This record gives sequence, C-alpha cells and structure tokens, in this order.
Amino acid sequence: MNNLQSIQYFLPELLIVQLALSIIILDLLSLKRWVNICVYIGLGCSALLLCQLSSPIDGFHIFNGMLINDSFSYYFKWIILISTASIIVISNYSKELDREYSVEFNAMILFVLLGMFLMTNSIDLLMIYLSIELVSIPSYVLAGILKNDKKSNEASLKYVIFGSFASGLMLFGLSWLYGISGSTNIYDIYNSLALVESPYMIYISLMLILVGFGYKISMAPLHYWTPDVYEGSPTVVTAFFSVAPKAAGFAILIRTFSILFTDANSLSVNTFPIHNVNWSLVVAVLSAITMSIGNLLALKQDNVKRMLAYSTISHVGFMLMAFSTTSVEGNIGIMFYLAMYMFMNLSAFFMVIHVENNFNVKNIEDWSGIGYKSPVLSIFMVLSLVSLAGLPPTSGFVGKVYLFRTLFATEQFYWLGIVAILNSVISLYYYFKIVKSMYFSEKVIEEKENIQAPVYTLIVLFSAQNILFYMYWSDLYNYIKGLF
Amino acid sequence: MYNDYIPVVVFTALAIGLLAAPLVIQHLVSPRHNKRNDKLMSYECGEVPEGSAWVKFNVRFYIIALVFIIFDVEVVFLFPWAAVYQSFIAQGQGLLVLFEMLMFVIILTVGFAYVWVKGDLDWVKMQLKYAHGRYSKLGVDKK
Amino acid sequence: MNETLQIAAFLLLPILSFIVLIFFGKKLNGHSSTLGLSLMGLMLLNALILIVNAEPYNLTAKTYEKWSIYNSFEWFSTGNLSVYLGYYVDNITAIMLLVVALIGFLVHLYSTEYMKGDPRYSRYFAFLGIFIFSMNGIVLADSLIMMYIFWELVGLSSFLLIGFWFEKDRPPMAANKAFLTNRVGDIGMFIGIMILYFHVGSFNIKEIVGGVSEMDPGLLTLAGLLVFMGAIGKSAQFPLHIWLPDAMEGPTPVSALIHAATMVAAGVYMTFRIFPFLTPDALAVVAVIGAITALMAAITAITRNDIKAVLAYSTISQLGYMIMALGVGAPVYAFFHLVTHAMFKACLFLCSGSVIHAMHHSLHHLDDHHTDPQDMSNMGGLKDKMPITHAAMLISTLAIAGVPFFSGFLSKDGILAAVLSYYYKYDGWTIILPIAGFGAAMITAFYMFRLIFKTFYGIPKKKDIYKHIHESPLAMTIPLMLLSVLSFAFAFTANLNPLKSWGWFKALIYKYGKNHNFLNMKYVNSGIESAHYDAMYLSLFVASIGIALSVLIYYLKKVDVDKIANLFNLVGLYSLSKNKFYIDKIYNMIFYKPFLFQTRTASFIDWDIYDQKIVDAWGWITLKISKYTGISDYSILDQKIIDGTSHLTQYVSTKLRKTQSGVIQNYLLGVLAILVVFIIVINQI
Repeated sequence: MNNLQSIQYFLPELLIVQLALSIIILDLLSLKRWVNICVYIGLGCSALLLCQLSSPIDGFHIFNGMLINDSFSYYFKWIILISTASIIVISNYSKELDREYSVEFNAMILFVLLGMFLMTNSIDLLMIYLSIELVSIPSYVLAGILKNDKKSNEASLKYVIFGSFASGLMLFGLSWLYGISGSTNIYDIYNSLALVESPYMIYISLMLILVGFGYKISMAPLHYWTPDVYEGSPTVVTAFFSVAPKAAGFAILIRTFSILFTDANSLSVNTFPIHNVNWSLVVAVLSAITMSIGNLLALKQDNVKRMLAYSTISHVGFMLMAFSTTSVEGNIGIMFYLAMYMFMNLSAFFMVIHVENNFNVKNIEDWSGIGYKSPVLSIFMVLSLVSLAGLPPTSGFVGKVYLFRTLFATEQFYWLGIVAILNSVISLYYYFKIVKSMYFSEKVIEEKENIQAPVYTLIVLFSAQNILFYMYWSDLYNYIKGLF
Repeated sequence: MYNDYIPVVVFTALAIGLLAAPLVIQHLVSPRHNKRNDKLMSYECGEVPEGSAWVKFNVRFYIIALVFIIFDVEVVFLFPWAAVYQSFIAQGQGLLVLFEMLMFVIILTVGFAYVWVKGDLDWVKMQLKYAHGRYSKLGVDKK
Repeated sequence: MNETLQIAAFLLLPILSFIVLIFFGKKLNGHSSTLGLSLMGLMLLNALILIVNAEPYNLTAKTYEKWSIYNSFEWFSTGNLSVYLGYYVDNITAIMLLVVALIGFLVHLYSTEYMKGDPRYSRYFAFLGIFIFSMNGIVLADSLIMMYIFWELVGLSSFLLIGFWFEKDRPPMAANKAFLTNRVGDIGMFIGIMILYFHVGSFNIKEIVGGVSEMDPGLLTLAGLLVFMGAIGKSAQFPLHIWLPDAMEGPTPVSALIHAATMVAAGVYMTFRIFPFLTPDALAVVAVIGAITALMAAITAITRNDIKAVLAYSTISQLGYMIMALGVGAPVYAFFHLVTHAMFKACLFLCSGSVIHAMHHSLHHLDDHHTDPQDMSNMGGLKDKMPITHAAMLISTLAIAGVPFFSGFLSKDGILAAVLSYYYKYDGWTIILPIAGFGAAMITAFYMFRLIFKTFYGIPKKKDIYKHIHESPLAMTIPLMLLSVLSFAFAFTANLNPLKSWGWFKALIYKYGKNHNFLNMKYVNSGIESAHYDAMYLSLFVASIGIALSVLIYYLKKVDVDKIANLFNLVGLYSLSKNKFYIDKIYNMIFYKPFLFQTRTASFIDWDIYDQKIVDAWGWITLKISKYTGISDYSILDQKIIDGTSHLTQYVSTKLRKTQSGVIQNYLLGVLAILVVFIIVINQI
C-alpha cells in the first residue's frame, strides 16, 4: 500500500505527532495551562482512533512495506497507550518533577509513545532501527530530566552510552542480514535466509540483533543499565520505563524473531527455529540467567526503586521463558502476562510515588509505619506486591500459571521450569520485605498525608485489577486467543 | 570445522601486525637522544600552543553545533529532493511531494522556534534558572 | 387492601407488643402491662369488627353465601418448589380470632394484678404477646406449611411461658417436657404435610382438600393420621397428653390462656380444617383416641388434690370430647364445644388462680413457705371469704358438668348425640365411644363438684390460713364475672329455652364442616338430629348421677371416701387413677430408661474406649513420631538444607552485587564477553 492509502491506518500515530508538536507550540506561545487539557484530549482521541482500527493477525503491509497493520500490534498498542496515559496523569502530581519542564516531559513521553507504537508494527530493518532509536533518544532525556540532580544526570549518561553500544551492535547484526539478503523487508529477508547454507551467519546476526532487543527489555546480560537508570531517574520515569518500553520490546522481539528466524514466517503458527539454529535454547538460558540475576540481586537491595528495577528484570525473565517455547501459546502467555504485569507494577510504582510525595522516603526501612498511616492504599500495595510475587488470590498468579503452562506443554526445557519455580520462591522474600516494613514496625509517622485524588484513584483502580483478573481472567485470555 | 576460523585468525593476526608495524618502525627510526622542548611540541613549525588541549568548553558551543547539524542535515536532505522534484511534477504528484517536504520543514521549524524562544541562541543567556556562581545573579539583574 | 391491613393487625399488634416489651420493657416496667393491655384491647375491637362482618346462616330463608376473605403471596421459590404464605378468613376463623382476642385481653387484665411484683413483669407480657401472635398465625393460616411454622412458634412461646419461673426446680423441667413431647407429634405432622405436598403439589388447605381424591386411600389415611399427630401432641391427646398436667407449673393466667382456652384448642382447630380429607378409617382412629383420652383423663382427675391438676386433667378430658366429636363426624359440635369450653375453662382456671393468689398471700402473711397453696386439702369454706370467685366458679362448673341453662350443656349434648348416632350406625365395637362419652360426662360432673365442695364448702382445714384469705382485687374479678356470664347458654343462643341450641352462634358456624370428601354429611347430620333426644336425656341422667354422688360424698359426707376407693380398687381402678394410669411410669420404663441406658453405653464406648484408648493411643504414637521427625526435620532439613539454601542465595546475591559496580566500562565489557562466549559456545553445540 502506498503512503497516501496507508494514512488511514496511521491516524493514532499521526495524532500523537501532532499532539507533541502542538504542546510545544502552546508552550512557546505561553499557553502552558492548556497543555494538560490538550494532552488528555489528544490521548483520548488517539485511543478512540485506535478503537476504530482492527485487523487480522496476518495483516497487510502499509507505507510500501515499512510497517504492518495487524491485530498483534493493536494489542500491544493498547497496553502501551494505557500505561503511558496513566504515567502522564501521575506525572502532574509528582513532587520530584520540575514544573518548569513539564511541557518537555510530556513531549518526550509522547515521542517515546510514537516510537513504541512504531516498534509494535515495524517490519523493515530500517524502521526497526529507527523506532528503537525513537524510543531510546527521548528516553535518555527523560532519565536526565532532573537537571540539577547528579544521580539523574549519571543515569542519563549511562543510559546513553549503554544504549548507543547496544544499538551499535544491533546495527551491526542488521547489516549482516542486509548483506545476506540484499533487502530490508523482513519477509524478503526470510526468503533469502531459507536459501542460506551456513547457519553461522544467521546465528551471529541473530545474536547481535538479540542484543539490541534485549537491551530494550533489559534481558541479561544487557540488564546492567536497568538498576542504575531506574534508581537515578525520577520515579515517574522509572515507572514508565518499567512497563511500556518492555511491552514494545517484547512486541518487536516476538515479531522479528517469529518471522525471521523460524520455519514458519508467521506469528500464528507453532514452529521451530530456522535451519536448526537453536536460538530457543539461547533464549531459555538467558531467561534463566535473567530471572535469577533479577531475583538474587533484588534480595539485598535497600532502595525501593532499585529493588523494583531488579524485580522488573526477573519478570522479563519469566516472560522470556514463555518466548523460549517459540509457540503461539507462549506468545499469548506473554501478551496476557504483560497486561497483568502492567497493572500490578504500575500500581506498585504509583504507591512508591505517593509515599515519596508525602513522606520523602527512598529506602525500604523508611516505609515502616506506612501501613497504619495510610491503611487503604497500603492494602492495595500489599495486593500488588502479592500479585508481583505471583501468589494465588491475584492476577499475577494466573499470569504466571499460563507462562508455566506453555513451558510444560511444549515439553522442552523442564530445567527452566524448575529454575523459574525456585525464583518465584525467592521473589517472595523481597516483596514481603516491604510488607514487613509497612506493617510490622512500631514507628509512628508524624508527617501529614496529602491524598491527591487522581493518584489515589489510579492506585486503587490499577491494584483492583489484581483481584478482578484473578476472577475473570478468562475473558481477556479468550480475547487474546481470538486475535491469533 | 575449526578450518572456518583460519580466516579469522589470519585477519586478527594481520590487524595486530599492521598496528604493530608502524609503532615498531617509528621506534626504530626515531631519534632517541634529542628529546628537547621543540621536539615535543604539537606543531613543530607553527603556532605556540596556549595551555593544554584538555580544557572544558562552554556548553553553548555544543548547543550551537547541534542546532547547526540539524539544519545542515535538513539542507542535505533537501538537495536530492529538489533534484528529483521535476520528475514528480511530470508524474502529476508534485503537490503531494511538496506537501511531504513541507511537513518535514515545518517540524524542524517548530524545533527551531523552540530553541529560539527558550533563549538557546543567545550567546549571553540572561535568564538562567539553575545558574551557579558568577552567573547566578544574571537573572536577578534582568528583572 | 384495607381487609389485608385489618387481618395483618392481628399479627402486627401482638408482635409489636412483644418487640416493644422485650427491648424496652425494663424502662416501661409498670406500664408494660398497660401497653400490652391496650394493644390487646385494639385487637379485641378489631376481632369484634370482623365478626360483625361475618355472614350468619339464615334459617328461614335458607339462603346463604359463604363469607370469606383470603389472600396469599409467594414466600420463596426454588426450582419446582414455590411456597406461598397467606391468610384465609371465614366465620370459623373470625370466631377463633375473637376467642383468642377476648381471652387474651382478659388474661392480660387479670395478669396485671396476678403478676404484680414479679421481677420479670414486662417480659411476661412480652411472652404473652408473642404467644398471641403465633396463635393468630395458626388461626389465619391458609396453608399447612404456614400453620406448621406458627405451630412451632406457639410451641416456643408455650415453652417460654411454662418455664417462666425458671429459677424454680420444676418449671424448666415441665417446659422441656412440654416442648419435647410436642416435637414427637410435630415430626409426624411434618411428614404428613410433606406426603400431602408431594402428592397434591400444594400446601394450601383448600387445594389439598380438592386434590387428594386421586391419592391412594391407604396413603391418604396414613397422611391424615400423621398430620393429626400434630394435634395429638398439641391438644394433649392420649398417648402424648403427659405434658399438659406438668405445664401447670407456669403462671395460672398462662394456664387459662394457653393450656385451657387457646393453644390446646389449636389441635382441634387444625383437625377441623383437615377434617374434609380424613378418610373414614382415619376418623375412626381419631374418635377412638378422643374417647380414650376423655375417659382416662376424667378418671385420673378424680383423685387429684392439686386444684390446677384437676383442671388440667379436666381440660384433657374435654379436648378428648372435641377430638371424639371430630372423629364421629360432628366438627360443628367440636368447634362449638371448643368455644364454650374456652370460656368456662378459662373462667375455671382464672378462679383457681384467684384462689391460689389468695392462698399464696395468706401463706406469705404467715411466713409459711412449705405449705402448697394449690393443695385442696388445705382449703375449704372459702365461699364466705371469696364470694365472687365462688359464684363464678360455680357457674362455670355447672357449665362443664353439662347442666341445662349453661353453655356446656349445648355443645356437649351435640357431641354426645353425634357419638350415639355413630354407634347406631356402626354397632359392634363402637359401643366404647358412647360408654366413654357418657361415662366421662358423669365423672366430669362428679369431680368438678368434688373440687367445688372441697374448696369452697365445709369447714376450713387450716384455720390460720383461712383467717387471712381475702377476695382478689377488681382487676382479677372482672374477667371472672365476664367469663361466667359467657358460660351461660343464653350468651350463645340469646334464647331462654335451655334445650334449644339454635342461636346466633350456631347460625355462624352452621354451614361449616358440612363438606367431606368421603362421608355423606347430610346423612350423618340427620343421624345426629335423630339421636339428639336420646343423648339429651341420657346425658342429663348421667350428669345428675355424677352431681348427686358428689353431693353425697363431699357435701353431705354420707359415704366414706375410703370405702368407695377400696371398692373401686378391687378392680384396680383407684390406684390406676391415683397413678395416672401409670403412663409416665410406662414411658419411663420403655422409652427413657432404655434410651438413657443406650446413651450411657454409647458415651462409654465413645469416651472411655474410643477416645481414651484408641484415639489417644494414636495421639501418643503421633507424638512420638512427630518428636523424631521434628528432630530430623529441624536439625537436618531446616538447619542444614533449607537454611543452607537461604545462606547460599544470600551469598550468591552478595557476590553478584559486585557485578553491578556502577562503572559503565565494566558493564560494556561484560556484555561483550558474554556475547562472544555465547556465539562461540553455542556454535559448538
């Protein structure tokens, strides 16, 4: 489809570009107070436009084969849009952020949003690289948005260096692919790859591309930046980084690998790695390493944000576990888990933001007494933590059950299942360290608690999903299944 | 299968060798006893350098450079477009292609306006929110 | 709607009284009786309005429209089962409501004085409220299931009132006995209701009456008798009559209201309602049970010395009459007797209450706490001290004895006529029914006059007690006077001719009980008509014999009591009567003792053998096992393996932290190294 025809499938993204530009113009015209309303309305319209669009799983190519329009990408777009929108709402109530730069903050978030949208439906090497960079570059700025905070600056710099390094390696891998096939469209490349005699070239380029994607989803050994950046960035930004780019990263990882490096050339078929290049074993090993490192390192953390960063790494490990099965069920499991993970992780982060706003605390020990100071929110925080730990009366349990199910159903990597179960046990410890701190301590907090209605509502709303999806998960699961 | 690595090994050895060769040659042919001041200067027969090259540059240079590069790239992008524009007109798509390029220019213009309004093009910036030391009073004076 | 409201008032007023008094009674205290009394007054007024609306049977015009109002609503429904609650009001219901309201009101009035000074004064009135609520529920019920619910509620309130003085020894026992004995009948009743429901598909009495025709007659007989079991329990029929004499432990006004006039009549009322579908076989059983009860209770009453015990057995005997009348196919007379009996028996009980009250006060004055104020052998000659009580009691005694000009004569005469016609019709074994009927009539006359003579005539047995006896206050004597007036035949017939029973009352009930699924009631009724005069003469004859004997023995003292007793004892009759036919002892032998033995045995097996030996042995073994597993678990598994894992995890965690040094060059190096390792190692595989 040519560019002009493709625009009708590209309206949400166009709206987001326009929105980002218009708030910058509003700022330039000293109409800052209209920015928030403009962003809310714009995102609402974008969501409405997204509602209008739907497509089968095999989809069709738009913009001359640069992007694909399919149901797989729409699901991820929804997750990305919901989490981003909630972050934009919360950012208005964070004390950490400087009001002076709120427009820049919003604009950057919107650029990242655009990049993430593109990540979900890129099928051209050029678009893959560009979309990842479009996510990365504003992210560097977001990490360093606190100009006067040394840690924030350090986080930003580390992010830039690590990001450039990873994207350099990925670019190297992409160039190998181009060298093999002489084309940038991944469907064309697949056809060439099928004729390649030596699997080593495929393998090396695969590994290098995995570096680029792995860096986005903070898979081991590319997780190094995660704790430092998460700790240094403002909490709102950390919350943002922990969900939306991960979802986008998984989208691009699943799409690229399922199409390029399997026998099937499609998302909707159970398949095996191409040319017996056993990359699913690589992913399985990396998944085991990722979840183990995430959990083991989270054990000894005192800083809540840093601990949640490691927890994010371990959750990525769990999702990679399902990816290692290279099955449709595994992809469904990841998509399902991402929805659960978005709600529980964001509600936990929002609670951290709320606590930081009111009591100015950073470490787990400082959380003592909060269980009695703000009882309602604490209950929901406990719910989110239980869900993150994957215990039964919550959606985290249901999500994890599906991840494990896909692994055991495909009857490979049983050892990975055992590692994952052990890791689940370990994760209990550090999540409940917060619970312990919140409830089992005598400390009485003197500060007055200032409850902001949107923060309160979002915490309650997102955390309530833990129970909701525990009881009524089947609708969501069937919906995702219906997409394929 | 280790045979496959022979080119790699050769290549690696060649790289190391080619790197090592100039150093070795330099070490062999360079005068060893006449290491006086003039010999160690950056420009043996030119200007006398003022101080060390490892100094902090003002961040404004970088900002100006960044803005310059962006518009430099814009111009680079516009030249090939202008070159093939004639053929698009012939195909009857002239307006569409013009519009596409306009979009690109408008987006860059917004960026340019942003930089301008925020005062990043002023060499002496009068309103500094986070100014320190001798710059901290600048904003106060202006008001 | 207004009708529904009017009917609902019969339930709402008493339950309001109950709720207010049970929660706020302590605060109202002295005024609680005023509240209860005024609510009862409203209810009485309501009942009077209702009965004025009722349509009497016009004898001359013979035109008649059955007056009834009814309504029902769904209570709940699950699957195929839907249960409706509702009320059905016709003349019978209206009369029953009036009886309950009238006696309830008078008993409230009487109790204000009788219960004065009781520490739980307000609670007493609250209990009376809930009793009247549940009694009205039975009367209004249009379905057996609703009747059953209120049936149990009546049982509960009776339990509460019998055991009202729970700090004493005997009332709680009596309350338990009454409740448990009633349960035996109620279980049968419930099974019967369920049998009917599963065959007819409804609980509604009218629908059951219409729907039983397709049922197997044998099963219907069984079902009818099972439902009738409820009446056996509630109306104290043989063999479940044993609870009623014990129930006299409750306050005397309660005995008058519950155990003489209303609750025990509920069984008769219920049998009256189910009468149309009782098969002839079932009716024969009903008649025999009634006859046995009537005669046996009458014989037992002769030898009682406790004034209330005499009345209690008299009540059982009269209830036996009513049941017998139902059995022989004369429900109208049964109901007639129910109402007349309610009046004169309530009067008798209230009179005895008045006497006991006076005795009690006198004994209190003398500081004597050992003498039984209810024992007739301590009384005598009270006629002069308590003239009103004496007059009222005499009138009601004449009524119960079946003397013309009094109400008892009219109703009992009808019953005896029905019994006699039943004998004429069936002959053979049915001779026992008239024998029991007339025999009981004679004995009733005898022992009632014995009671009068021993209490009110002759020389006072205890002079000092006699000295302090006073007539009861006005609040107690007004109900006596009113009820004794209602014991005259005139009150029911408005006609001075003593032998004619037609009157406003009979006109109201005449058309009811004229339909039966199996009997031709026209034929039965004409039989009763024809036996009427035989029965009347015979009953007058036996009554006068009874009264004459009583006068001879107890008033004129011409015959020695002991001699007569010995004479009767030749056939064992005296000791039978004295020992209440040994029924309590028989039950003790065949039910309680084996049951207690069984429970003791079961308890021994369960506790001494099973629990102490077997279960505890397991406990001991488990303890030992757990001790050793505990040692191995803690020392090896917990301390070494589990804690070891935990320590290992912590150790690895500490070591791994060092990889996260914060130095970005190291990170990049690490990434590269691992990447190269992966590319090389996995390539080899």
